[in-house]
Order: sequence, then structure tokens, then C-alpha cells
Amino acid sequence: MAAGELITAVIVDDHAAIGAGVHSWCSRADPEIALVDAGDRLADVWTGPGAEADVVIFDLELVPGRPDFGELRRLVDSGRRVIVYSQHTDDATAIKCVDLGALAYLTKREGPEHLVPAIRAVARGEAYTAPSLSGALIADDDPGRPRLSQRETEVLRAWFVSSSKDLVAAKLNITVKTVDTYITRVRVKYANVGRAARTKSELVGRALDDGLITLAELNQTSISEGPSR
Amino acid sequence: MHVLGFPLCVAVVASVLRGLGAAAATSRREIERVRVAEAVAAETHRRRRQRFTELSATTVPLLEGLADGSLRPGDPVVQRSCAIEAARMRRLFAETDTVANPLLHELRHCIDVADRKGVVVELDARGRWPAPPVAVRRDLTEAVVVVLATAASRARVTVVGSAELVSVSVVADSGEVDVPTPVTPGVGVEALKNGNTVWMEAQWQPAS
Repeated sequence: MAAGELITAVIVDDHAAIGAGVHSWCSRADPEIALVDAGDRLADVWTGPGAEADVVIFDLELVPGRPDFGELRRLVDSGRRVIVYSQHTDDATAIKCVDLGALAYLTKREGPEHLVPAIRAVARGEAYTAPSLSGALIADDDPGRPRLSQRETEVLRAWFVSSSKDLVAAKLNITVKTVDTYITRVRVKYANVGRAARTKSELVGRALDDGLITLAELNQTSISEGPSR
Repeated sequence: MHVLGFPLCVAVVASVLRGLGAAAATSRREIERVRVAEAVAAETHRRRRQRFTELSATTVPLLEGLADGSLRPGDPVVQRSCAIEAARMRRLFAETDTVANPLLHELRHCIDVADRKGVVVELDARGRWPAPPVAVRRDLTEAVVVVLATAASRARVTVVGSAELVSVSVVADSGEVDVPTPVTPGVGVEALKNGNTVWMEAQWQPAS
């Protein structure tokens, strides 16, 4: 989508209060974000105005206790740009969503200060890493995880801890833009491992085009090329 | 009669002896019970004395000041001291609880005091870490106690731990704070002030 165009998002969430809350955040955002509320009807994400939306905000647990990774996979595979919005806070779920190709993973404790920038980033096909996901990434000890540099880990850690990019920048004596660069590099490294998905290869492709990371660096980061993940 | 006499005597004597033995066992158990109770009382007394000693340096002068009127409850500095002492007392009482993760347990108690003042506090933890000794835990949680005492409305407390490093961090919209000096070696405290936000982080390296 072109810059300055109205971003549209569709939310699928069985809690009416969540849909209403997100609707109010979107209408108060500047510039405004158009929101289609699909309620708990997954079909409305696939047909009608929901099918045209730039971004899908997806409640992972439409059926309580049964995270629907299958539906997330179908959405990603059909080229949709997905934000998983979940009441789950466990790290494994967050990392699994990222591995499936979700561009953002937010817990419902993370409010408009994260959801609105996440919608904007994801609409552009970029990843958004909220503090909770950052925490999951620093705690990831899966043997198939990508290798992160010390600085990347420091930035992730500081972002998880402080929840403020200004603070991270002040603490590490770098600019906010550099903070974003390090976080993006981590997501690109993650996009480069595990399951193949269009959203993930777009992240990697753009990062290479922008010179954010080199092919040599990317190749170094896969710890194992074996069967993991 | 002779045939019955001897076994009867034995039976009588045996029964008496059994009675004596049972009485002796009962009194032995009683003595044991009293000894245990005494030991528990002595230990409790020792612990209470120690707690009192720990409180006497900071809490008692504050209470004395409030009692004799030399400290005014309306003074923001006094209010801050009260919040800090309340959290320290909560922490002190939580230290003897047997829990799986004493650091998180004590942090929750420290946070509770701010929570009651109406400060919204998030607590989030990642990773696994060895249980730090009580003195280290005090150094790690002290930063949280000090920063939360002046937090105006919201705060984020996090623990990130591994086998090499345990870090307790607090970010809050706090006013002036004094950076606490850690008592135990291997603990470092750093503070950063950015506008109205204070970020204080206490780190412990278990190996050092």
C-alpha cells in the first residue's frame, strides 16, 4: 500500500469489549485506521470488507484453551499480514506464531501504544516486536534459534525491560532509529530460520535490499541447518 | 498352686515392668517435645531479635519521629520514607516463607505496597536463575522499593535471569530517588533518569 493511504484492519476476537476497545484506539489514531470488526466470525476475515483489509488482528484463542495455529497458518499462507493478539503470555506460543509467519505478536496487556504502531508496521509488510515478544526472544533456548549478536541481545533485553525505545536509546547511548535497526535485524534472523512463509521472506528480502543485514551475516546466524523447527 | 504360682509371679512382674516402660517412653517423648518447643522458641526469638535489629536502623527512628512529632506525616519526604519502610517490612516478613522462587515472591510483596497506593505495577519475568542468597535478594529488590516509593501512577518491574546474571529492573514515573548502595559483592545498581521516568537496574553475577 502507498504511503498516506488509509490503512484498514480487520479484527477477529470473540470478546465484544476487545473489538470495541481496538475500534476506539483505531479511530483516535492519527492518521485514523479503518477497522472492520468481524467479532468471532472467521468467515468475515475471508469474505466481504474483511477480505480486503491490509492487516488481520487475530485472537489466537477464539475457542478458550485451544490456540488456533492452523488458522494462523492459512491466513499467512494466503498472503495476509497478521498481528496475533493473544491473552497468552507464554514464550513458546509467541515464538511459534512468529515462526508461522505472523508479523507481530502482542499480548492483550499491551495497549494502543503498541497495537497502533504494530498495525502501521504490519500494513507495510514490516515486523513489529512488542516488549513481550522481545522477552520471549531473549529467553528462547531452542537449539534451532538464530544466533544473535551481543548488541542485539542487549537491545532486545533493554526493550523488554523498559518498554520504551527512548529509554533504550538513552541507556545504550544510541539513537531510537538504531534501536529499531537492531530489533529488525533480530526479526530478520528469525524470519530466516524455520518454516518458509511469504511474509518472512519479504522481511529478509527487504532487509537485504536496505543493507540492514548482509547475506554473509544471515548465513552465519543459522546455528543448525538440521531438521529443527 | 505351685504349678500356677511361678508363671503368675512372672506375669505380674512383667506387667508391672511393661507399665513402667510405657511410662518411661511417655515421659521421654514429653521431654523431647518440650526440647523441640524450646528450640523452636529460641530460634523464633533469635529471628525476631534479628528482624528487630534490621528494622531498628531505619524503621524505628521513623516511628519514633512520627510519635514525638518531629516528623510530620504531611511531609512528602516522610511519606516516601514510610512507603520505603512499609515495603522493607513486607519484604522482611516474606523472606522466611518457603517458596519456589523467593526473589519473585519478595518482589510481589514489595510491589503490593505501591499497588495499594494506586500505582499500576506490571511484573514480568523471563529466564531461569539460581536462587540468590537473602542478602543478595535484598540488594536486588531495594532498587524496586526505592523507585516504587515515589512512583506517581505506573511502573514496570522485570526480572531477567540466567545462570550467569540476574537482573531486576524497575521503570516508573518517579520523582527524585536516591540510588541505593548494594551491600553484597557481585551486585551493581545503575540508574537512568529520562524526563519524568526513572529506570533503575540491579544486577547480580552469581559467579563473582
